[in-house]
Amino acid sequence: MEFGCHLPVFGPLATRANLLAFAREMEQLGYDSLWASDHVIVPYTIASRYPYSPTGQFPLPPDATFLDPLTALSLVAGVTERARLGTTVLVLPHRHPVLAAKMLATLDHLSRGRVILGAGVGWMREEIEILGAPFDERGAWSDEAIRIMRACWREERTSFRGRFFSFEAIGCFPKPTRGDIPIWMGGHAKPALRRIVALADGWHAAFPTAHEMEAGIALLKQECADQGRPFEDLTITLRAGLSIRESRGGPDRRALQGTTEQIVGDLRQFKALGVSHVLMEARYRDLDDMVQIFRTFARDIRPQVAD
Amino acid sequence: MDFGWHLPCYGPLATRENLLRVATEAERFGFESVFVSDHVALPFEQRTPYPNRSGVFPIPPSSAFLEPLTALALVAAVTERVRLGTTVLVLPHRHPVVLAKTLATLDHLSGGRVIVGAGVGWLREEIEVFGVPFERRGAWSDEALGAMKRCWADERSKHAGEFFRFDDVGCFPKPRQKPYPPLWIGGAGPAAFRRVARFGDGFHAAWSAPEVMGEQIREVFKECEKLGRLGTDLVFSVRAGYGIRDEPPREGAANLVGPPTFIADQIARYADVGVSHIVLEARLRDLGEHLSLLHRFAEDIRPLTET
Repeated sequence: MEFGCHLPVFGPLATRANLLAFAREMEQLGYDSLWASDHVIVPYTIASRYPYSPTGQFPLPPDATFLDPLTALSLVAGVTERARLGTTVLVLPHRHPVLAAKMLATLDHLSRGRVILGAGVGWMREEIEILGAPFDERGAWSDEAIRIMRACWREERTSFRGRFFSFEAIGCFPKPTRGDIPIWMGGHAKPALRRIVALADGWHAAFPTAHEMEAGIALLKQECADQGRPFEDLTITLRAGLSIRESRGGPDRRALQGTTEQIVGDLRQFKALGVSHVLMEARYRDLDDMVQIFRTFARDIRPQVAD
Repeated sequence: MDFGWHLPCYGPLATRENLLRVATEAERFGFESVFVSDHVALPFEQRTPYPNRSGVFPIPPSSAFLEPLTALALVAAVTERVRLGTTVLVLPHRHPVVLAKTLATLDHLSGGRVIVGAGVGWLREEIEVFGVPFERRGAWSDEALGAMKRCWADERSKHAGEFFRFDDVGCFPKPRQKPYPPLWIGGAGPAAFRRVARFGDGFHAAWSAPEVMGEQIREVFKECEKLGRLGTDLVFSVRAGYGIRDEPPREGAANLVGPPTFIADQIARYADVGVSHIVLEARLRDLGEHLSLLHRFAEDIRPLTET
């Protein structure tokens, strides 16, 4: 099982010094990957429902710093050598796919093949509409965007004719170092799972419980059977909030939030389900505290779930 | 006179090692800035003539051309002082709200080192890939610049125009430089001079000979006068080909290619017409040759310009 860390890319910790220090230290601790999230603007009034909290409230205020993820990852690429660099997730409708493909290929080229594209179709209508994409058709729009990015990465001469995009042969160089960039799609609804099987290399679930993960995997297997794709093709990954506590929580405890034994138990459960990469996010106002929890995890928990 | 160095951001030298090496050498050898250029999608069938004598764009579509802001973010990780500029960013390649976010992130993460060289572009096929109406790229770009300034300068950003519309959104981080990074407008026609007067903190010419540059600067001041702007705060910058050769150049040369004494005299001619920043662009065949040109400028030529 591989482990990644969410970088300090939003809030008061999102500074150059913190990003560089955190990335270097996580790489030294043996973490496999470093991740950044994606919001371009935050409206002062949000009507859309945030899908990852019980209240539906987006957890960050509109005046919170939120770094552009590709810029942050490129900075981090300059001081790391081995850790993979991922987005969790890049909201596809935020960027023209030819531009996104170019930025990702450049980052991959400059990091020698370390990029993972975690991607989603987004949930915040206001932000997506400001950036010019049709919110109600963002699924179909994103399908085209993925096809275009793949074509930019794989083909010598890239051309496309679709509903949202059309262009004659262009050259998209540099190509990614390994000839392609893995795409792990987020989402858990049926259309998202169908898109993963049709177009992606993996599933990147956001904050699931073991039960939700199990249910999602069952649906993915069904989709694979329907579309004639081997399930083993897919990389199964998830993002979870990490919190190591002294006391065992109640019955509504989230995955990876509890005592060392509980977290080890969660991870063994995920591993048994076929999860191969876990991205962990620890929210702190202080970099030392944030680093410390990942040190503790690397020392006390990771050895117990290592392959 | 300040000097910038054009980084190996295209062609076979555009690799991680070379980019990091050349940028750190430029900083170590006292250059004030490093610059990169912007192409995202080069058409295989180019019908637009390149704005130089031959009309032929010198870089084939299958050549690597790094995404400039990704490249500068990598460079930001290993440099501390040198400014990070674009020569020039083609505005229609990116949605202005995403571009404002990316540049603000880069400025935030580099400690306020960004110089935004920006133009409206000339390559119709590339601009049309991004869905921008080529014939209206001037109006589109003017609106984009206005929208970007709102994202950078205001707590609660809003903009209502023909091409973009947003109301009451948070765009954070703000750039480190207040109210935003210097905006150097590129281009060579009356519309570009007007744009400098209206939006610019500087004028960034490409390959103008000193006497042409003098003429262009006079045109910029005329446009300033029409708007009631003094323009005394404007920076005049030029991008110039640079190489050391024994044979003296022809009369009226538009570059810095020749014996060191010629180069120093040419720099003095630029200074005489009001230029205060020159971006040197050396040929990119071989890293050793490229670095040797960088070193020789710093050690042999620059001292000649300071006496």
